Amino acid sequence: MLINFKILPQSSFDLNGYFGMEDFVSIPFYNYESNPSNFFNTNDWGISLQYGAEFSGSVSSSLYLLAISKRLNNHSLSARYTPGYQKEFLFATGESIIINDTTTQSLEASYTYKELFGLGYSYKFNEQFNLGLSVRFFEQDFNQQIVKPVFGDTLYLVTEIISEDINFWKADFGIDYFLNDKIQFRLASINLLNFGDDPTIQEFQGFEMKQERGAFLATSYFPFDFLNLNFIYETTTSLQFSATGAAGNFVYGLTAFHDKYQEPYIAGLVPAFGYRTDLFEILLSGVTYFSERSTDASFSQFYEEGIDNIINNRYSFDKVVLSFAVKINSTPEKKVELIDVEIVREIYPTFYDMYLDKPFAYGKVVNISSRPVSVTPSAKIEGVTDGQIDSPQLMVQPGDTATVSFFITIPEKYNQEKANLSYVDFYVAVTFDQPDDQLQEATIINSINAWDGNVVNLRYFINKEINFSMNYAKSVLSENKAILDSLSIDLYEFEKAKILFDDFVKKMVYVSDPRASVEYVQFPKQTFELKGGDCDDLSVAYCSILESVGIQTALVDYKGNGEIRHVNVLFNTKLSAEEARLITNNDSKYFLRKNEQEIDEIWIPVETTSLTDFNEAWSIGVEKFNREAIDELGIASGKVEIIDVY
Amino acid sequence: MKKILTYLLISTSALILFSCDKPAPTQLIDDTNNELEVELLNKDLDNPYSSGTDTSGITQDLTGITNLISISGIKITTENRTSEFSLAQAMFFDKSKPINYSDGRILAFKTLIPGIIKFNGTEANIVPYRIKFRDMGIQRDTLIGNKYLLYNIFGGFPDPFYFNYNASVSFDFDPFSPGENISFNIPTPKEIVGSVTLTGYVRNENLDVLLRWNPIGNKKITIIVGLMRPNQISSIPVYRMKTRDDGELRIPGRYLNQLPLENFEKIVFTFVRSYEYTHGNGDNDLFVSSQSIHSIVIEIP
Repeated sequence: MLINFKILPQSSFDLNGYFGMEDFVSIPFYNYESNPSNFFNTNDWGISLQYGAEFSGSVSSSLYLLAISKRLNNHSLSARYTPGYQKEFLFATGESIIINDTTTQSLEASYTYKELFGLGYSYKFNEQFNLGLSVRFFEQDFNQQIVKPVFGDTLYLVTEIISEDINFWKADFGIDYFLNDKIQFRLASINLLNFGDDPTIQEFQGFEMKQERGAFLATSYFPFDFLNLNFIYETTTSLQFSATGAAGNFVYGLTAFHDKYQEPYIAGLVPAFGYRTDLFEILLSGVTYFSERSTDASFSQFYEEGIDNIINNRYSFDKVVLSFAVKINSTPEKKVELIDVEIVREIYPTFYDMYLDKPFAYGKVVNISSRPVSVTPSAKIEGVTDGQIDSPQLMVQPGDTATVSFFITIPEKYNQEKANLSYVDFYVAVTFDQPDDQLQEATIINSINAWDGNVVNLRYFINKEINFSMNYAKSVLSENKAILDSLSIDLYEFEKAKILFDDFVKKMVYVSDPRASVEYVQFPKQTFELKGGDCDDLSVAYCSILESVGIQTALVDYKGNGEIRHVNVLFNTKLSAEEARLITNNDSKYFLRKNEQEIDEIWIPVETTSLTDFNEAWSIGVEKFNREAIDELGIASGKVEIIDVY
Repeated sequence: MKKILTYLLISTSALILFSCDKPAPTQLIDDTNNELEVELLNKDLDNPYSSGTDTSGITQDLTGITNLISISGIKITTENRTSEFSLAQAMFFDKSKPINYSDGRILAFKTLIPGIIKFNGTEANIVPYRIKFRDMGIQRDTLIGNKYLLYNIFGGFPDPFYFNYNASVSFDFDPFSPGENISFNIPTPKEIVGSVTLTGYVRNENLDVLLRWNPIGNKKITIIVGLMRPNQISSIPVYRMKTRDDGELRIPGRYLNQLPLENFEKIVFTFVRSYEYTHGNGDNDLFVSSQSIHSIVIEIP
């Protein structure tokens, strides 16, 4: 008797050969055979098909596979329809009937095995692990002519066809493990779970697919882009090894396979050659067998051995297969990655436009696409900025890592008086639709009164509430209109500054900053409300008042020598050197600076912490300026710096 | 993107439409020795012999045969008791005198007695040769002439003719009309010894028959399946099955389960291993059949 009939549904053979999980094959054509974890590299939707021809003496063409996939972050979903995954066996059963004493009719049978549908799901745990599940639907159509006696008035024999469809689902798990960029492993089950029908017709018992359990083990070594090596072993003792690679947009592979049910030991080869772009991939592959193939075969061998794969068995013929896959992205495909970000400047909200000129952070961006891309970095600070602030674009070559700068601007309406912890979202994008990658970093947002100690940045405080200062200044000047009207126009600036200072100091006392880790600067309005401040508060307020009525000011930064720094004010009288006698006969009481027309103008230093009157503040300011800036060569040595407010 | 999608959809649809080829099927060649040729012998089980039969009860079409020499070694096993017989007969047909059915079809031909015939040196008896057949719904029994006959039921009685298996039987013909005598040896087949395993029940329609016999591995054997009514000793042949002489045959259950077995008491499986050949040529061809026959009669469960 014939026993041990065995047909194993679909081992790991792939019509494209085995490509492993190389980056350059972004759509693996959704063959669960060679991709048991069924994770794929498309960003969004993918559609693929395999169309081919089989050469069995005649040529028959088939749509082998039509598949669709969808990736949702770390989840991959796919479904495939495989109308060409079928194999039919025809058999003259050996049973015959004699009709009309002389005519003999032989009875025939057919056994058709099909894999019709497949569904896949996989999850990418991290860069090292994928775990996937594939579920596949198989159909077995069995038909056989039989002779049946029918007894009525007479006895006669009739032939009829008995049929049975025996369907089943099989489910398998697969896992990918990426040891590093060059070595990866795969492990998958073969026929782990099977659900289906059993044959009920005696004639078909023993012809159904047997579903022996097994395991699929694969390892890949990627020493170079142009040469990758893969090896697959199945516990059914079948194996494959392949060499694959990529050169530019071209991919290629050559797979040799051993099947225990086929001769010779290396039963055949699967060469493949393809072209890929960011949008589509096309692959031409073929299957060539080393043993001679025939459309006739021994029933005994078929019955004893069965087939272990519907599309690759001892009854299969040479094939040519054209595979085509297209990526359809509702979201742009990720082309760049943001691998690191460093915040290099603290955020002082009052310096609203400072970060437009000086990046507050730098990031490292890698171009993971195959083409040069223009990267747009952007950043958003939670609770501070109005949405994302784009920074200048940067071209990055394929595979290169570049440093991108992040700039922001802070809305003037920001009014947080206390420092707080916030988060900065950094983005890099190639298209305007959606960022390719993003990172988040925590940072401290200082209070609006925080100052970094850099006198240059006091101008932000000067300008912050310029309307308040202007209202104040106009009010004071209108009160002194008679004085001003009596003066020569040349003394107008000087006298305005004097009147404003004298009024300003009447309301002020000197008060030190609160103890804090960062310096604290009051806005002019706060200084008036608090009726005092330290040197920088008073200088900021006085500068703001003068600037609000068009008097050009500068801050004098006395950087000291291990001592406490000091700030006071210079203002431009608009008087020429020859007009100095209008305000003083002492040449040391003023300071000449060239204007834009290279004409000397008289600038007067004012010590804003001298809260008696203008002349006193002028004298103290001049004395300090002459001593530290001039006599001690402070300006030349950089210990004293004059910083124009505008 | 829309353009690409459109092209893709159109080309995919076209591929599906025009890709209806199925992969080439593989024709499996039967190398299993499981050949089974089935012939229905009796259409009317209530009125058997609806076609020409010889006296052994084995239906044979006699219209294509000029002259027939048949020798048989027969065993019949009933309830573990086996009886053995030997049979030799010869018939010579006159092709100019056909016997027709009413519709004109030839049933057989009238027979001749052209001389003296001896089997193993024993002269054969000349006896009437009747055939039974059904014509126009009426059972007929007609004498078509005489034939030569020797048979040995037990110990050389009534005729001292012994069928030796796997040996030969001598045949001698001495014509009445002028002409040469014809003598030759008829080889006999190896004895066939069969067994039947019948399981299941008629009422359950699950009868299953496994036949086994001593195989000789080449050629074919014939198995006749017959039915016996209660209290009758002759069987009604139903099927003739030919299969390889490989020692085993499982008769598909449907062949038995669909028969009206409730009207019958016993079922007979007859194993026939035969040598058949034509001796001579032209109008005087002799169709020679040498058979080992083992009939097993068992109760229908």
